[in-house]
Amino acid sequence: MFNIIPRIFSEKSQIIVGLEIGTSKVSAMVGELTESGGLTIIGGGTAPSRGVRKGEIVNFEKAEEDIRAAIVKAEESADVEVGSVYLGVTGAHLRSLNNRGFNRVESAEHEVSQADVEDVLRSAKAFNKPSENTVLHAIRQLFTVNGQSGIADPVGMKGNQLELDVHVVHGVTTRLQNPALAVRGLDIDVEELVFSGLASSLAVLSPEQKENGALVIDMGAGTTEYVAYCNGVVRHTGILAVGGDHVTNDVSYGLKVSTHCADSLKKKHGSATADGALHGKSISLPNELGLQNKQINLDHLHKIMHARVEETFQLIDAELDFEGLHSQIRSGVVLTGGGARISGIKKLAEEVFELDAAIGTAGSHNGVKGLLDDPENTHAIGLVNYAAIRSRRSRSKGWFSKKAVAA
Amino acid sequence: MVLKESCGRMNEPIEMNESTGTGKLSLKVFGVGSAGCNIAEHLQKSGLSGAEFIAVNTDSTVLSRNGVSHKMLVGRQTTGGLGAGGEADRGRSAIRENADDIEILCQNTDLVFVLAGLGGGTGTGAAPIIAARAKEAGALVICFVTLPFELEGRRKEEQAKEGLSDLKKSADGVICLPNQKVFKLIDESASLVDTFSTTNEYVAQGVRAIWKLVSETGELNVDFADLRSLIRSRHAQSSFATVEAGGSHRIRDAVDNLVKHPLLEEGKVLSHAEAVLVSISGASSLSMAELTRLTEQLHRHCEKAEVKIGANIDDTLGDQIIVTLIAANSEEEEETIAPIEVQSAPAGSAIAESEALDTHVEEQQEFPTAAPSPVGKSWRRRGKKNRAVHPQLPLDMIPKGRFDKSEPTLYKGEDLDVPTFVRRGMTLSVG
Repeated sequence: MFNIIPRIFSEKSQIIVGLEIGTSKVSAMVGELTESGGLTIIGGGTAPSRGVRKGEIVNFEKAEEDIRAAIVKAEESADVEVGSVYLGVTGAHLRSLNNRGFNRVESAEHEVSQADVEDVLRSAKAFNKPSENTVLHAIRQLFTVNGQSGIADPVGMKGNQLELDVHVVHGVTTRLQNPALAVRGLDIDVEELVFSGLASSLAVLSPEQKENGALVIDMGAGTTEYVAYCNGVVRHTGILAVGGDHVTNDVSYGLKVSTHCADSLKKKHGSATADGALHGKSISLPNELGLQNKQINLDHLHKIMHARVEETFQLIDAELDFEGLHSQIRSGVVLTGGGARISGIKKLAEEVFELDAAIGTAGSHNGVKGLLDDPENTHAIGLVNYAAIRSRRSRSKGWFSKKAVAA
Repeated sequence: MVLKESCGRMNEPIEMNESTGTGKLSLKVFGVGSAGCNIAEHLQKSGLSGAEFIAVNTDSTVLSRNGVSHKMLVGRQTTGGLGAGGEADRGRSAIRENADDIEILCQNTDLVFVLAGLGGGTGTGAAPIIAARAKEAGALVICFVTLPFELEGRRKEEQAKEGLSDLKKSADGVICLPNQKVFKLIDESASLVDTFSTTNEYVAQGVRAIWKLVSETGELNVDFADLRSLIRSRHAQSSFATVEAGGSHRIRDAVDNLVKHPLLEEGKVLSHAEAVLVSISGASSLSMAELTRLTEQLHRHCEKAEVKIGANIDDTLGDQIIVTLIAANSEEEEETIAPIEVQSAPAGSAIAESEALDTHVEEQQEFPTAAPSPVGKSWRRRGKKNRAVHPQLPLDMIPKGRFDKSEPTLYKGEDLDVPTFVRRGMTLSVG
């Protein structure tokens, strides 16, 4: 009953839900967007995921069950009914590139209009992609009008040659559709598919960080996504199908323990830094069979984890170097996702990237504190954020066009 | 005790062979490290006329057991005669102590062979420095090295690779025998001793072949100057193979065997070679026509290469011929080339079949051979077919655990599902 009261007062608020079908968990976050654009995270639910490997569904039935469980929990927690979601997608098949679109401004006064912007965006989306792929995002960077670059919004400016740089994320159509299919199977609409790395970056970065250049690394269980912002725009995105599961697998193989046991070792005693301080130290592992306790060498555990996480960072670092973005990332690296919980990961990131590193959470949002502070929730919260940005933009566009008519 | 006794003799200067003036070539063979010393011993026993052998090692015990005529214990201050412990750095600093001696030894020497097993401490560390000093002293330096077996671990492999690239920088030519490939040449059940003696024999064959090529005057002579111009300035890694063949189709068999030879990576090396040196030995029955055919067929297999052929007559061989081939590759060619035509394996046999029908017309092999063979094959064999590359599938078990059945995560050719510490070759010591 109590929950209904605010909704009576702000009737026009909108409920948006972000759904992440992750490798380790399915998580649904519910946000409330008021007419004035304020966003509050009002609830969320997570359920362990059993049907996903490396970010993609491998067992449809189990995935559906887990999605249902998470949605039900979210509905209970926020006391809403979920009708549609913004769905995060990931997978090793996603590719990204920067592309540029051109358009000639045809109007008599050579004044750039909203239609011109849409035309140039369409032109920027056209590139030579494999036929089985579809474009997931074409994220606007900056416009160039008659050679003057770095323009954020050209509408209303004079010019006859309009160019737009976009960052395009595309992936295999069928593989993108699978998670949406699972969600629709539960009679829930999918509003939009969103690249999960992009969603996470929206949740953790402040506008200043985007402006100064930042790298967001979302290390999940199955995949690691990274997004680099420079001068306020997305310059590079990427995905490695390597994540926490790999760390667990390495530990399990290296220390000869079960996957389950490796997972708990990783969480309780793991570290991404191996400084040798623990040399020779070991812990004994209790076992259920009453056999002799197994001794686990902590130094080995750390070395194995260090090698994996360091490698992942080094691959990303090499990618940044290749793109020439290293010098443009000035506000540092933000780590998020379940991987950000590995102890010492911040220090390791600072070493590898030679930049400041921080653990990113969605703490700057309004809402249920417990949900916001967990780096594992940034992805789903980011989806809500994405939806909010979308909906604000469409509103302002509506306002713009009205004004244009009035003028 | 051992140390003192052996050291007394070891570093006595070896009397110089003042042969450069007399027109006879002088050769010094350095066996570096335990593996190198063993090969040198093997060579000395099997006989190599006109060569002086010097065993160089950091381990006095191993050295004293060795039967090579001249021995040199290096790095007495660094290692105390106890070996380099598998660390190339220690091998390097050990040889630096005695580097000047090496240079003195190599003065007035035309040709220096450095034999070493890469991967260990002394061989990996010292061989490049010996090669460099010998080169400074004015000799042409050719290194014969073996690469470790896979079972010897990633660290040795890495160290060996480093050593190899050092050697390529310092020596005129490096001829490299990856031990792993020897597996393909010997019986699976061969004993450990046999396996090592086989690898030693292969290196020895290479040394003998080159020495024979330049020291003996053949009917078609390849001399020292040829060798020098062939390998110097190429900074190349060379491969070599020796095959024997007999009977009426000996030339064809020899070429077939060469192309299939595991040490030449089933002909891949040939197709990428920049320069090829071939030496053929046979009894006086060796005919000009046979030589022409050999040259012709080899040219077909190595289109890019400059081919030099040497022949000498050895009447003890009877019906047999021995063909030794040294192929120098340029550095850039190491990238793996996608297999062009996979069904090329029968190509060799196709030639064999077709030519077998036609043995009596030796000189005009081209036309008659084409006729009896199936239409599709007969014209194709002259083209690229024989140069096709055989891809090698990895057969080792990769621990992928839970990702066994999922799509592999490939990043620049590396499977990221395999634990990083395994790929990096990190060792987790017990305790």
